[in-house]
Amino acid sequence: MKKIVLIIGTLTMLFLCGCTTTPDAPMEVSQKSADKAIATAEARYDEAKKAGIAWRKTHEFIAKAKVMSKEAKYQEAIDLANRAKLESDIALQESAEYDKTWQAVVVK
Amino acid sequence: MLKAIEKIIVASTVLCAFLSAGAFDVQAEKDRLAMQNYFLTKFSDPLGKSASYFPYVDPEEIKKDYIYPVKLEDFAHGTASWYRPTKEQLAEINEFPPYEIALDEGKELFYKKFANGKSYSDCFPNPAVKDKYPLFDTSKNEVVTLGVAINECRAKNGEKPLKYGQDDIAKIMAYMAFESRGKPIAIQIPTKEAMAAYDDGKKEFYKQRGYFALNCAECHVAGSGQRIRAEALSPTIGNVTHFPVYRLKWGAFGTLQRRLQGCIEDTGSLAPKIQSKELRNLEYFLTYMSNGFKIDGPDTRK
Repeated sequence: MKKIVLIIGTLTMLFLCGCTTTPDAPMEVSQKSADKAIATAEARYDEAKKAGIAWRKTHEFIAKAKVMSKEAKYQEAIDLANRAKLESDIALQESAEYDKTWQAVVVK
Repeated sequence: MLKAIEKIIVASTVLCAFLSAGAFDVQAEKDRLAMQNYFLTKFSDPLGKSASYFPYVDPEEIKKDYIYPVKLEDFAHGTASWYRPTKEQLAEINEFPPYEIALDEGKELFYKKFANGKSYSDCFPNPAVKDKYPLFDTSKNEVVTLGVAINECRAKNGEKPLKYGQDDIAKIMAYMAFESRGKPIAIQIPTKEAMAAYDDGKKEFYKQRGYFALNCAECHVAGSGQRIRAEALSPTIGNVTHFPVYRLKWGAFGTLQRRLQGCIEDTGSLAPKIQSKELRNLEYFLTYMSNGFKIDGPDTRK
């Protein structure tokens, strides 16, 4: 009986520990990951700028992300870079839509 | 008989040449007339048409502050063509125009000798050419604005280019606009490449952009006749006639492209550089929309 209780207890502990650690392994937060996020945001911003549809504040987020990375605040740097990337993603996506629809609003 | 056939051939050749030369601006002409018709209709009876054109305006404000019907030529005054408070403010400001000193400086700069003894007047024997700009240069296949032409004149005479958008170049352009007052805008679309540039400008005008996903037309076609907070929105047609403007916010003259940059930034978008292809083509389109309106620049704006 003791053995059964011990086995069930051990399994329960393992299960509970597993539950607290298995979901979405936390993203690695390091200078390397921050720099990668910044580089991705910059590349996307350049794409939007080249298409002439970049948003006005995106470069400010990238600049702030670089400052945060230098100050070893990597999570903040990643958040800002991701926000900058998201803005360029939306700008490029919307621009592709508007390319197809702009003629519909021309005064006729 | 032979002479008669020869005459017919010559006449048909001339006719064909004439028709094909004018063929490039057919769509542009349709656009221009449609735009004019839109504004004439909209401002013919704002109260009666408020549901269609002025859904967010209090009818009492229309009765009190709107001027209507607006005549076509009056759109050259921008917002002052339909909005009484703006018209009255501008009239008061222009009793002693704040731009007079800067305008005199523009004239001085225009005739000031370069190091080689020549001046702008050698490039522009008649300074009254604002009605022809921006023009499409068929040798370069691109739109040349008056600002670009001024800097080309400097380069030809061994001078460094001026900074675009403000300061000296805006003063010189203001003087040239002043000399051009009363001349109807006469922008031409001479080739298919010119029409492509016009189309690019048209797309710039209608394409949504920025955080707010706005295009120029939302404020200056559909929105014209309404306000953004306290600011009344100007109509597309006639708007280019008074540039460069002495803007009270700037405390100086500024060019149309400088104003366009500000407008684009207000949509939450990164504005193209002054004299970029995008802004030159947009200026080409906008100015074509105002063909026939008389130059009345420079003028004062808030």
